[in-house]
Amino acid sequence: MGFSVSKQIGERSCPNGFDDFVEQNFASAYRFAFCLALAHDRATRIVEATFGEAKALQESEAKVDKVWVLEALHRKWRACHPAKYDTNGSEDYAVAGERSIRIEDVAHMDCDRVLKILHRMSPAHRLVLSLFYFEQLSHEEIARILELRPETVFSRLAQAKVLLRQTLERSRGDASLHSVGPEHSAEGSG
Amino acid sequence: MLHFTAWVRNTALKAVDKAEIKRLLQSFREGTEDTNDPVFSEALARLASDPELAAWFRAEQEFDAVMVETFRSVPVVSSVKERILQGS
Repeated sequence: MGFSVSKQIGERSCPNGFDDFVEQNFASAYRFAFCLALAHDRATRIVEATFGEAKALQESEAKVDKVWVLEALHRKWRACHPAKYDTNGSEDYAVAGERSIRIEDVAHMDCDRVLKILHRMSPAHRLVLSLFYFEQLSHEEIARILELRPETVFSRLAQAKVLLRQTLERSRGDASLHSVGPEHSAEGSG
Repeated sequence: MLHFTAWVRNTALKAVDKAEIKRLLQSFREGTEDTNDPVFSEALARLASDPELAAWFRAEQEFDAVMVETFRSVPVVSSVKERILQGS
């Protein structure tokens, strides 16, 4: 089999081809795709297209790893949403001095609610947070996936975290975040 | 007067410095490559001498731990994986 799977830092090597590659990387890919697309059906489309592309690359022995998968997902999503994508900050900004949510309040907050809040953030902030929290990628890897300079990753991440905490605090009285929307449910998306 | 000017300047520099340290430490993740990354060395070293900074850092790490678990709760549609594997 011509599929070449490179070893990721912290992960075991994967010599058994495409199937093992999918097993190892599918969850990461799907979570990031969902963060990009904010809906299971759209996430499914770009994930399937990405792994299809990865499989096609096996014949050429090209290097395909987790970072490549996330990069490809990002590329595909941007190709479909060029007008929506904003890589240079966004309409939402952290407000100096505004209250941030306390850790004890976050710990008791419903995960679905937190994800809804995350999905209301701009792509610029949402994506850097998802790669930072989801995948424990290095800052260089995050920069590569999002096509940013590494120093920009630091500043954008700092801004995004402050904004997230302020938004979480502001949302505590928002009743519209209590219910789970259909786009957050995995049911029927199979 | 010179002493006061120097104090104001040094205090301002320390404030900027502390803001920069916080900006860096907001990106730090315990138990990852960040631990050995020289980018964070100086910032981490400051924690030992600055209790306020250390307390802030602990709160940041706690927040990050909660966020990691939250993000990992995103449901993954396993049937999609099965379709991909069946096509291979």
